[in-house]
Amino acid sequence: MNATLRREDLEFGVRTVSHALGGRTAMPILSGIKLTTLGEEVEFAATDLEKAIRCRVPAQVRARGATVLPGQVVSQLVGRLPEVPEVELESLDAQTRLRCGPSTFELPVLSAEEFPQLPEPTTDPLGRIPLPQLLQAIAQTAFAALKASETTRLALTGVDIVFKEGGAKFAATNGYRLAIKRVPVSDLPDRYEGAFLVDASILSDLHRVLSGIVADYVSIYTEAGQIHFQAGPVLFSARLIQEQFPDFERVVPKDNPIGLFLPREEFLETLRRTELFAAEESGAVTLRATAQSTTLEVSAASRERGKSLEVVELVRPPARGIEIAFKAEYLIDALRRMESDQVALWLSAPERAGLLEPAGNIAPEDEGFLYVCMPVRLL
Amino acid sequence: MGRWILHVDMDAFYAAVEQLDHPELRGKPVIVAGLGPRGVVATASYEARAFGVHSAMPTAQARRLCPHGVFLPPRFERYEEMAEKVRAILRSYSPLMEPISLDEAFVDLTGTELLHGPPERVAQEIHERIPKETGLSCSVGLGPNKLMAKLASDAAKPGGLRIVRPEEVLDFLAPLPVEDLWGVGPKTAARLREKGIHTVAELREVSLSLLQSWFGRKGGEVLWRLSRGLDDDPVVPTRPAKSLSHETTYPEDLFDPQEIEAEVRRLSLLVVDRVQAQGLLAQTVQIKVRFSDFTTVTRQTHLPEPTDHPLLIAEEAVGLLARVSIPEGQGVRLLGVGVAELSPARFRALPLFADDRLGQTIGEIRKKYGPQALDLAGSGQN
Repeated sequence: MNATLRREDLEFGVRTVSHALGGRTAMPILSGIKLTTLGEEVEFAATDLEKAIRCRVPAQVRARGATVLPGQVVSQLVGRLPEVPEVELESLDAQTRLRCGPSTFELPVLSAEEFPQLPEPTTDPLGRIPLPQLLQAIAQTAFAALKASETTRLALTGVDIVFKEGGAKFAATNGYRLAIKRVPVSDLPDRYEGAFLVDASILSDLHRVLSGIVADYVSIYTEAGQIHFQAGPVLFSARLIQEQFPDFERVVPKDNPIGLFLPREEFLETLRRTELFAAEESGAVTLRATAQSTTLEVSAASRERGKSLEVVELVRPPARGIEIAFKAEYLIDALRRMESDQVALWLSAPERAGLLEPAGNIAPEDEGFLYVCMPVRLL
Repeated sequence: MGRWILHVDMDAFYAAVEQLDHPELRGKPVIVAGLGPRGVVATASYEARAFGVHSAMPTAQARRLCPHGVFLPPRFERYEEMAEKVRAILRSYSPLMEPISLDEAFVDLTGTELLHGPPERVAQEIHERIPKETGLSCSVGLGPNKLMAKLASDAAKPGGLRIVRPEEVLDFLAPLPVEDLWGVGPKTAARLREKGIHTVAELREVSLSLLQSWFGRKGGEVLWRLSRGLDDDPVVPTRPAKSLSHETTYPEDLFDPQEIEAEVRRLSLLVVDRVQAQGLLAQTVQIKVRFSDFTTVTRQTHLPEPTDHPLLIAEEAVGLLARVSIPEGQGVRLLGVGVAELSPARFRALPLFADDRLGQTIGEIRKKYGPQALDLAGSGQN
């Protein structure tokens, strides 16, 4: 191949796909970034077999072809190139020459034939999600999943994406808390229902990749055990987790009668302070509300760390009083990913799940967000 | 004020439980042992000991010594259950109760006089209560520290009660062979014998500096103190175990994946029984699989929250099993399930998808009716 690219386009292409570079060296080819000429474009591609990222950028193509460059060097190099407008790439026998202003680099190449065939969407998209809403859906759910080290059961390491009734629900849980985000989906076929389980850390990579691009919508394709997200020049593919996600709707409390309406940021700050006094093993803080009173006591105590007691003013008095303990971290995780001025924490009993949702002037970023959190029973 | 420490040692515990559960075995030589070709004796009843059978002896040898003995495989679930009954009795006298094994425990009675009366009387009461309430015989020792309590119960075996008051310590110790002292191993005893020291009285005559020149500064001091019955090791309630596990070596290697999985569930529940009995929560689940060729693999997960829920722990153990690829042609010789990162159950993180009360109920049913009363079937997802 022989092509000239704008330096920023080269950097963008490399940066984008480098999120899928295989870290392990069992298959050395996975450490490479494949460049392929496609008409007046160059496609960058990388994969670790769990996910694949492709990204196209405009180029002046003089000779067609493909080459696989060593990913680590190239992704570091593109950030250090001299600030000239264009970069020329040319395949030689066993190298690819990269020329950039006064600099010339000769990069060893990996065999393009060995690079795995990447999965490709062949059908029409299932639907389209506005880019900002997809990003927010990932940001408000992926954190709630289990880490791979915390389970052998892959289901809970994923985010379940359920397409239904013109929308998509993203749901993730670690078995003790559950984050749900509903976003609108355009062009979803009538009465279509389908659920796809995607690894939460891969979705976080998708978030990183898509945060850097300009596009209105993300088109979603699914087939053959894969899900593809296409936005602007980027196509991001992920292998689906072939396991049954738990029936999460079942555990969403339907009519918790006690609503604690709280100023979100103040509550968050209080929890962050109180958490420091919680017992290390449980991380539990106690919330105490009294009927017809706007005073919420937030407290924690542990032998090692001491005691704390803080009062947060509720926006309005709850119907009933309650005393309930939560792992502070679980509440903080959700509150800090919300934007609204208020939240409502709906409770029923000290041993029943609480439901957290945005309240007051609900920020657009919080539309469709729900968070279920199991309490801690202190013995 | 001096300390009062009590030591309880259940007599021929496993064999006694078998004789309790099977009245027809009473008075007969009962040997609880691994029955496979590689098995060893766990406990022999006093009737069997008369034939020279003792614990840790290969089962094959025990069969030669006592061909008419009744050989039984151990039922640890049942022993654990009986041990917990004993522990409950002991706990009712002092929260400072330290189980050493299934059949042994220390209780610190210091300062319980106001509640329960003089320790000598408590020791007597415990010595009577345990057989009455469990049907099992025990030896009880009472002394001013753990060392003396243990030596007293040894002296009381089987079935007796021995109290060593502080002023009796030196006389009590004098005739004992040095290896009876806790912490004097066979090597140390052999070196002492080489120097002509056989009894504690003889040991006591050696100066501290000479002992230190023989056994080092620390080792010499330990011997010097032991020979005088000095020991200030505290009784640590529910000794914070680092891990709990159950393992089984199978008489014949297992090949059927369903059977292997069922075994992992069964072992998981046995572990959870103990986690619950000791009032603990676990945050790490481990499994161990040994193949026919003795290669052994272990796998473990760190759970998001500490738990004692039988379903959560069993499912995780089964999940770990799925990560072990059994090599072609190999069977499973041994399976083990363990938990670690244990902490006292001072709180309970309630799970979203598993019923917390169900977890407790499973434990209670197994405790009340025995582990065989309730087992876990596969979820069908595997």
